[in-house]
This record gives sequence, C-alpha cells and structure tokens, in this order.
Amino acid sequence: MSSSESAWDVVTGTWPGRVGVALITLLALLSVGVLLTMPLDFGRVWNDPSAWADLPKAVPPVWSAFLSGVKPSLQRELVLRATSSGPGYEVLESVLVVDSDLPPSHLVVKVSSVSFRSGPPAILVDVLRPDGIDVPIARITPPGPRPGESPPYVRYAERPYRFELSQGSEGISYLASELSLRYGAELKGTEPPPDLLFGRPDPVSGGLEVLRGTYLIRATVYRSSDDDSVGSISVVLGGSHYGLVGTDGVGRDLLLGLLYGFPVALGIGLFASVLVTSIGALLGVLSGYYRGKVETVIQRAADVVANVPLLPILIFLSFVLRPSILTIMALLVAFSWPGLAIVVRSMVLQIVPTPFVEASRAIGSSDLRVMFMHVLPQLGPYLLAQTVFFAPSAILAEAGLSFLGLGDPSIPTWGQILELGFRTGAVFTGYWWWVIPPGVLLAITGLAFASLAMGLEPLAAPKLRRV
Amino acid sequence: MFRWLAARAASLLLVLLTVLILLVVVLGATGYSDRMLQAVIGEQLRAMREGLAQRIKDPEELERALADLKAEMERAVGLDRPWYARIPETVMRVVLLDLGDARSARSSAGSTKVVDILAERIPNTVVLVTSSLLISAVLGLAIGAWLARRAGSRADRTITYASAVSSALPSWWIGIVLLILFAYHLRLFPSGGMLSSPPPEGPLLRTVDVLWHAFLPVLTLVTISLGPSIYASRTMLLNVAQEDFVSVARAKGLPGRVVSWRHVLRPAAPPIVTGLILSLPASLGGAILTETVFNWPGMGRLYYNAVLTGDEVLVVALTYLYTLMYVIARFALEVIYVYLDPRVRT
Repeated sequence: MSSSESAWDVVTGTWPGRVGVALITLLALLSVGVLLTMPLDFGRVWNDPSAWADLPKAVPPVWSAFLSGVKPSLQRELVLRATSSGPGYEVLESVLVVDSDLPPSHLVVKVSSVSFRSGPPAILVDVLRPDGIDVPIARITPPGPRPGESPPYVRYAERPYRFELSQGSEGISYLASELSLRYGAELKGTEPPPDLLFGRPDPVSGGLEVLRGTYLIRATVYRSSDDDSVGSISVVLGGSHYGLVGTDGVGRDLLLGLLYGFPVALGIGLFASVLVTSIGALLGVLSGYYRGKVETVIQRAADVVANVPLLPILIFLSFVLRPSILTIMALLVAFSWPGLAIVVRSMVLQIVPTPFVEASRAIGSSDLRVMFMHVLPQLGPYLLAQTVFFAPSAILAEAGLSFLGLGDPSIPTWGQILELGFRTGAVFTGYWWWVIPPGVLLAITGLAFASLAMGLEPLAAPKLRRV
Repeated sequence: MFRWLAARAASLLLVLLTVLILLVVVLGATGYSDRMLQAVIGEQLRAMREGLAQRIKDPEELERALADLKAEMERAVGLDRPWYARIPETVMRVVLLDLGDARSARSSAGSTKVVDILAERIPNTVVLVTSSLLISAVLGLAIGAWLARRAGSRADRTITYASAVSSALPSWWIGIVLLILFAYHLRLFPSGGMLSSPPPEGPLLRTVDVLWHAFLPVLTLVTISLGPSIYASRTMLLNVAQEDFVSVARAKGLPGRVVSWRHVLRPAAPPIVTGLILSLPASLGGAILTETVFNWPGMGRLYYNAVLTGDEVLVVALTYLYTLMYVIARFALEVIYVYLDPRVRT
C-alpha cells in the first residue's frame, strides 16, 4: 500500500466497497431524477382516491402476463369523435379492436363540460359487438337547472362525470339473456360486466371467453337546442394488467409510489444517521476530553439509553404522539446515540495523551480548538463509516413502524406500501407485486449502505488494511 | 463477581425505571392517563348504577349519589390531582399490570383483563424468540468455526459479507416472501396462527401441529440473528486462533480437537456471548414484526392489533413487558458471561 493511495482507491479496492459505491450512486441518481420530475407534494396525490379512479384495482404488472403466456388487455382511454349529426342529435364513435386473452378489468364512460340552455341533453352510449349484438350500456343526463341559476348551465366542468359499468347497469341483463339464447349457455348476469360485454360463452369450459374482433363504441347525444354542447366523451378500459409494477387496491400505480420512496428512504437514512453521528460523536468527545463528572453523567446515561429496547419504545411514542416523519426520526436518534458515544470516548482517551495534542495545549489552544481541530479530525473516517453504517437502521426502523401502521400518512414510503398490501391480505390472495418490490427496494438500499460501510472500514481502521 | 453482577443489575433496573417513567410522563403530559382512568371509573359506575337504582328510587337522589361516588373514586385513583403528582402510583400500576380492561382484545377464556390476556401471550413469544436465538447461536457457532478454519477463502469472504450486511435487510419481510411461496403457492405450510382449527387431538399431534405452524416464523427469526451470530463467532475464533498460546498448544503436539475446544473455543466464548447480547434487541424487535406477519398469537401480534384498534392500555403494558423481557434476557446473558469469563469471576 502506498501513502499516495486515495480514499477512493481504498473504498473501490474491495468488492463490498465497489458494490456499495455503485448501488449508492444508482440510488442517488434515481432520487435526484424523482425529485426533479415528480411533484414534491406527491403524498397528497397518492392519498387522493379520485386521482386513481381510472386505473384497475390490484392488478399485476404487464410483463407478468407475458411470462405466463397470456395476452393481457392493456389500459386505454378512447375519445369518441363526432361522425354524424342531424336535427337535435349528434353521434360520436370510436372503434375498439379486442385481441387479448383477457377482458378489460372495468369500463368507465367519462363525460366532461356539458353546457345547455333549457333542458339538459341526454347521452346514450351503446356498444356494437362483432357478433352483431348491440348493447346499450349507459344513459347519462346531467342535472337540470337549479333554482336561481341562469343559463347557460354548465355541468361536469371541473371534473368529468364518471359512469362505471356495473351489474345493475342497463343492458347487462339483456346481454346475458341474449348471449344465453344465441350460444345456448346458461348465464345469470352476475358475471363481471366487462367479461360479459367483451365475451361469449366458451362451449368447452362453460365459462366466458374473450370475443375477439372489432367493437364500435357509440354515444348519441340528444340536444334540446343547437347551442348545447358536450365537451368530450371518452371510454376508459381498465387493464387486466398494469404498468411495470401493477396497482394496489385503490388503483394506485405502484411504480410511482415506489419511485417516490427513493428520495424519502435516502432522506430518512441520511438525516437520521448524520444527526446520530453528530450527537454521538459530540457526547463521546466531550466525555473523553473532559473526563470527571461530564464523563460519568454522559457514560451512565449512554449505558441506560443503549439498553432501552428501540422498537417497543418507538411503537409506544408513535402511538401516543402520532408524529410526523421528522419527529419519528428525531425519536429514533434520541435512542440511538449511545453506542457511538461510548466508542468515541474510548478513542478520544487514546488521542488526548498524544504529543501533538499536548503541544497544541501547551501553546495555549482553547479546549474547543483542540477538540475540533485536533481530536475530531482523527475520528473523521471512523465517523463517516458510522454515518453510512447507521443509515439502513433508520430506514428499517421507519419501515418497521410503517408496517405496524404507525407511519406518517402524508408521505408514502416503501414500508407503508408493504403494510397496506399485507393488511389487504396480499399473503392470502397472492398479490406478490404489491409486497415483494417494496421489500426488495428496502433490501437493496440496506445492502448499498452496509456494503459501502464495509468498504469504508479500511479507512476507518487503517491498521486492518491488508498490505 | 457478585459486585459486577450487582452493578449490571442496577444498571438494567435503571433502564426499566427510565422506560417506566418515560411511559408515565408521556401518557400524563398528553392527557392519555386521565382518559384511561376516567374510562375505568365510567365502567365501574355503569356497573354500580343498577344496584343503586334498586335501593334509591328518587332519580335526583340517585344522580347525587352517583356524583358523590364518582368524586370519591376520582379521589381514590388521584384524578383530583395533576398527572405529575400521580407518577409514583401510575408507575406502580404499570409495574403490577393493574391497568384494567383492554378495549377489544380478549383472552381465550373471554377475560378482558390486561393481565389475563398478557399471561397467555407471553409464553408464545418466549418460545418463538428463545428457540430461534438458540438455533442461530448454535448454527452461527458451527458456521463461524467452519469459516474461521478457511479464513480468506472464497466461501469465507462471501458468507462473511452476507452475514455482515444481513442486519441491514428487512428480515421480517422475508417472512412475507416465505408465506407467499410456501403457504400461498406451494401450500406446504399454514398461512399463520399457532394451531390448526380445529386443533388435532392428543398431545403428540398437537405438538407436531404447533411445530408445523412455528417452522416459517422461526426460520424468519433465525435469518435475523444468524448473520450477526456467524460474524461474531468467526471473528472471535479467528482472533483467538492467532494467539501465541494456540501456537504453543499446537507445537506441543496436542490433538487438533483438543486445541479447538480447549484453547480456541473456550477463550472465544465470552465475546461470542457478547455478540448474542448485542443481537438481542434486533431479535426482540424482529419478533414483533414476525409475529405480525405470521399471525402468531404472541405479544407482537397483540401489539399490532392494539395499535390498529387504538387500545392504549395494551400498548402501555406491552411496551413495559418488552422492556422487562429485554432486561431479563440481558441479565441472563450477563450471568452466562460471568460464568464463562474467569476474569470477571474473581
């Protein structure tokens, strides 16, 4: 080993160091990317169910369908375009080609910005199937004028009206009996509506199979006046599978939640570990430098606090105080400093009697100067390694608390996603895409910090460096 | 030796006391303790009302009698004084688990008393934690010794790395993965609980049933403590093996097994126990989460349910009990340490 060897060379000289540096860089880049592209108050979007209403609920990722050899039905939104009109009516249409093995998870008709002068327009939506059956699925009439309101009356301007196809919907029972008649099967009409609308009885299994072909989705708007207008009509078809990670029970895109978790996790880890290292190092240096009463008080306190079981106390305090994520971190720090204070004290005890500290004191340096200019720098590499080493404990503590339902609800974290998945019964329903990825990300982050800490070890304890 | 143990005991008692005072002060300052006591009194008053109503017919007089009773009871539990004046009594109530009734949890016999509920949960947790700690101590020693003999080899480097980083991984989450794999997909193990329902007849079948249910939770807990155990054993054995007295023993021509047992393992034993002591909090914390994952009817699962249903009495009792358990386990390990290390025994 040469003296010119830089810290970088030491860290990247070992496999754990290399793995740690590579993973931390990746995590940091992802976090920066997320901070630049996603809104900072993403927590509010995440907790607003209406923002996720169009997405299918608890469906696996798209790639998993291809792995099992099934052609999934993808999420899409078709905007109906005007094709013809006549006196008092207008027809809007869109063509839908279905060639998947699975039917859409749900169907929603969205109508926005309707404006009328006297009576509200009536919107009739029907689906013309490839086998010729014409299924009326929705009849939408905006509410009429309210007392004291003056024309033009505007409806559904702020957020669109949503009509979701359900078992009670008009046309579904008609479709069930029509299908039974035509294909000689026994359908009750209690099958999932999208399965009926885009399916036909399978003579072999007796269930429903997807009817492939070209469908025509048609909306007819009946207006009482030519000035009346309908902003847009669209049809949302929920995917049988969704995105890269799938969705949760509310229909939230798990990918976004997991991505947002990167800066949150790194923030939690760094914030808590920098704070713990600072406090632990300060108390350790003080007790090692001043000895006497200061030392006794700090070290006795450290001995007691070090033996307080962390998780139960954190559970209790989070339960009673319902803290924000910053308070959770502060509580974590309050119970985590002793280990470092004890070790730093013993290191300071060895540094203080060395000649250069003595020399510095002899020329009249103040205690503060000696502590910060001569003692602390010697601990630098060790403290750096400790900072990195503590980060995963903080991230895991937050994840553990979140898993027990005690997280800060305003900020989505990996632990909270995991908890919701577990509480929704992921283990009994096999929602693997909901609980495996957040755990994997927690593991990778822990691995990154732990590996980097191992790579920093030769810097922190130079005697251990292999020549 | 006794002075040393007494000092450790004093320090650990101080830990218990600190936690108790923290519990009581936080509860008092946030008004929780007042609400808890008022709930207890309200419950008792409701029960007494019927008895009183039979004796006192005049409704106004009845109300007055009830108000008197209420004031008297409030004085008795100290509600007429501010919370900080009640700290000593409240600490005693927590210590004796005299905390009244749980909100929604029940013991299997249907009792709502906190003491009864806890009494049947404690053994389940102790069995889970101790068996997994024992397994990982023995396994850790065996693997650690095996690695120490191959120090520097590829296997040594890989396993040492894996055990060093394992404490940074969410081990309880492995429980979820195990459940999805072995309970949901392969259906080899139950998805939770401690006994099948209905439980099988006969003590032998019952034991087998419990073991079958305990397999995955114990496996999960072992993954939490195995890494540190391997790491501590390997490093300590390696350090001792490089000592001069080991070389002397080998030079004397003592058989390898005698050197391993008497000259290496014996002096390495105390620091290995220290390793166990250090992994204790992680195991206890891991047990809370693992019990939750596996629906194991221990204290950890109770904790989760208490948090979910807002049962503050149980949360307080459990926090205290976990600290107590930690302190007791810690002290037991200290005693073992004293037994193993002749230097502190003098």
